Amino acid sequence: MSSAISVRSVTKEFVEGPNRVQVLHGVDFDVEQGEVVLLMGPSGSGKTTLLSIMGCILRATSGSVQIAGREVANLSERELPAIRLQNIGFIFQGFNLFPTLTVGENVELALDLKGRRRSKAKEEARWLLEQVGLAAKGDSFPSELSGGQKQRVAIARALSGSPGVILADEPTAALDSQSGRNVMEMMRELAQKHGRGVVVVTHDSRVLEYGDRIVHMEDGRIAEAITEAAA
Amino acid sequence: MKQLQRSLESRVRDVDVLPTTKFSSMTRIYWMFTTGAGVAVLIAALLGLVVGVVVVAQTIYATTMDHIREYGTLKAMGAPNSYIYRVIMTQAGISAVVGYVLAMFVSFFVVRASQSGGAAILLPLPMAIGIFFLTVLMCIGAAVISINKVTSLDPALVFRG
Repeated sequence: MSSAISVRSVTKEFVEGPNRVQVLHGVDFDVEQGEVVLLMGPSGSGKTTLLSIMGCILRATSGSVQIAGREVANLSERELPAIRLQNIGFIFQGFNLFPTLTVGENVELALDLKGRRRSKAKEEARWLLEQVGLAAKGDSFPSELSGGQKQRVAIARALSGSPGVILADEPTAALDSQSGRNVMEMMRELAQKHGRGVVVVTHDSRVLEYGDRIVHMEDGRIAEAITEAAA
Repeated sequence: MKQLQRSLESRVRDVDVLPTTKFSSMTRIYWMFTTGAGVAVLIAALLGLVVGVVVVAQTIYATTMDHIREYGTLKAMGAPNSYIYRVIMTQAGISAVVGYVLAMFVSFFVVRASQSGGAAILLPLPMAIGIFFLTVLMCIGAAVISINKVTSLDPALVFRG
């Protein structure tokens, strides 16, 4: 297996007034294609910052970040959106669907950003919604869906354009246990069947069984113990 | 013509004899500047333009702020700034067209009503077209504040609860 993401000696500092706050201290982290990594740790341990750096949303203060073998740590702010667009799918805790667009249009929008023609985007969006079991909901609005269904739409959107990496921030936090399990099963299937690297930041102990690896973070460092999940 | 003018002036005292074009331009200058009525209308039009820009800017800005998380999501997904400009410009363009159509509808009745009064208001086609372009420009200008706001938006906000 080759690395979908490789992070080496990454540090991140934020400037808050006269103070510099170091959030990450030389983090090394790999995500292989086809595996689900659960990133866990207490609040303030740097999980979301690391996720943002891997997602090319934040730039590391120092260190190396490779996405699909390409070094991205030295790219400019202007170059990062294109990397996100082509290589990374995001799943958010609050779903972040566009409420005035239908479910189908939400997925089509992501494909439109990737330059698909309208007819092709429509067809591809329908296929993606079929993959997450929501083909019949294409014309519904997000407000008409349950939390679990909304997250499945978010998964379909994240899959648009077949990115090699899926980054999920607390994807089950707003879901009941059954919906949470369904979402995690879908993520594991994504990783295994389609060879994508999936990173899930979570506090939810109910999802532990779905990770191939569990990585603990504390005080901006990867904790010593990296547990093989009992999948 | 000059000869006729001179001959009339020599026969009738205390009267100005003027050709139509000269009389027309003198009358316009009189109403525009001497009475102050024209200047007042110009100032009112300028004020209307300024108030219009402010109102449209506030409306577009409020709409942008209402949807700031969605813009953040778009940026996080990798939407380039040009895509987001297009979204905001489209909103500004729609505001311009809707505003223009409504204003022209009202203006049509005002212009018609003024024909029966002492001072008829004229709204020739070139002026109507000019006003359309001015309205579009005004709305696009008003969208600049929103564009600045979204351009400087940190997409990392999507990870904040």
